[in-house]
Amino acid sequence: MKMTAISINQLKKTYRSTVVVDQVSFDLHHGEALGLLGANGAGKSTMIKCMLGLVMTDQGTVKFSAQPPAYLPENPQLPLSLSAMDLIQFKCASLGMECSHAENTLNQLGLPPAKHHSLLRTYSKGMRQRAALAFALCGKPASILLDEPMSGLDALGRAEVLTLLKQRKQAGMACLMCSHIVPDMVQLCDRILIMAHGKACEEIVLSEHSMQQVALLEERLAYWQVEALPS
Amino acid sequence: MIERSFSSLAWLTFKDLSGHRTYRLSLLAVLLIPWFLMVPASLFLIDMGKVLLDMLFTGLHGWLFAYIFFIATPMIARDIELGIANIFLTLPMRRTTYYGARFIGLLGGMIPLFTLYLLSSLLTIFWASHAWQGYIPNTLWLSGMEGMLLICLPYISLMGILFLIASRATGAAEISVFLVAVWILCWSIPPVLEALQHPDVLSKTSPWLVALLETVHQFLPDLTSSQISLRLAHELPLDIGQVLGYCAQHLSYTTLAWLTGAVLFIKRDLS
Repeated sequence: MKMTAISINQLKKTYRSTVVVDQVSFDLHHGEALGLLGANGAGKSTMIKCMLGLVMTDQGTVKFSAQPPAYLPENPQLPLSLSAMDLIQFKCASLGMECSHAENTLNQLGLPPAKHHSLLRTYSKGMRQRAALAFALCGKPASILLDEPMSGLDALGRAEVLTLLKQRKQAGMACLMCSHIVPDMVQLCDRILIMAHGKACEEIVLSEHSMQQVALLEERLAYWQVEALPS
Repeated sequence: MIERSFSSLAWLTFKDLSGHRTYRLSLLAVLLIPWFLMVPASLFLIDMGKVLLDMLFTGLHGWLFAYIFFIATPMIARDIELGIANIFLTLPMRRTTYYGARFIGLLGGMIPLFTLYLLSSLLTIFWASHAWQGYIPNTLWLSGMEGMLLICLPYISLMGILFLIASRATGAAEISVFLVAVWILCWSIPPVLEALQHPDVLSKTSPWLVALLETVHQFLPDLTSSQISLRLAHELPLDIGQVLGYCAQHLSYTTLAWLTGAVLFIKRDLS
């Protein structure tokens, strides 16, 4: 039996009178990837921020088995006067860890060694996305929360990121990925939680990574967009 | 763990600052400013020592203002507005650690600028005292050093106010507007209150306005440090009680602003 990495219970967040996350509960196990699928404004990003404590919750609990998860925000903004290596060395120093594998992670994500010490302002958008992912993954976190991790990446970049995430997942890392791009989620995730209007509407276990699954998820997403409308 | 992430972020803040072109240009500017100030000061030959010191103090006010408004404010605003703070807070790092480390890092950024300005100013004074012997008092360098150290204190208070504003603000525009408002009030209220000492002015001003100005003044730090600058420029000794009171005012103001800001920052939502 797999150990629970993250446990969410009845999480709720309201902005004034608008319920953004409405009593969402789920468990995520080590070595498992869960996808949060939903249209824009479904409450996916807010829920991730609630889980990380960046946004205060109104109700509910968030439990982590080990240390809090790593985080890759949507369109990550990094201090542009620093290099990718500066950031990674800072993270290792803060956590009191060896950063000998940091170069390796940067290479795996397609960042050439010549760029490791260059200032982030000289990076392209895709390279900044890779640097942010390397920053999140360094220190070998037990779990990671990914908010639209493929945004800004070209086809090759997406493939590299997916390969790395699959490797980490096999090594026992729990992944929570939120996106509205179905094919990317199908490739990585074992389960998909469809969110609409702040509610967790349906959980779908993915048996195979096929185009039929993509079509099914898109159909269910469209269905819940209408069905979950607040009365 | 907390100490480690605190010192790491404070150091990273300093490293980030030193990578900014504005900061590197400021390092060059503070070296040159005292030498440029020699030109207008030399026009007042009889009062040259007094004018030079006054100008050096004004120059110090100028670049400290520029540092807080054009280097520190954009950095802290960027952290909140663009979500850069989130990548540090999710290391994980306590919010107070982030808030304190950024504060110390940005204060630390003032040290190289101040050291260079002080050294350049002392060299200017020594050079001027040799070039215009008899017009520059021998102890001018000591008054200059004393004054410059004391003038830094109000800007530490202003940094505390910046962090207090940033703890609730949503972005650069909000932070800048409130900080400029505080800065203008700090510089404009003392001369108005001084004018109100005159019975004619006082009789023509409504009592509620006087009370309001006095109340607002109580909540703001003395950024001008005008009395201290004036005495030092005139080579008059400083009253130790006045200096201690001045230091205590700014240090306690900074501590209070920082603590209030930290409490507010802990409770806020970060986008």
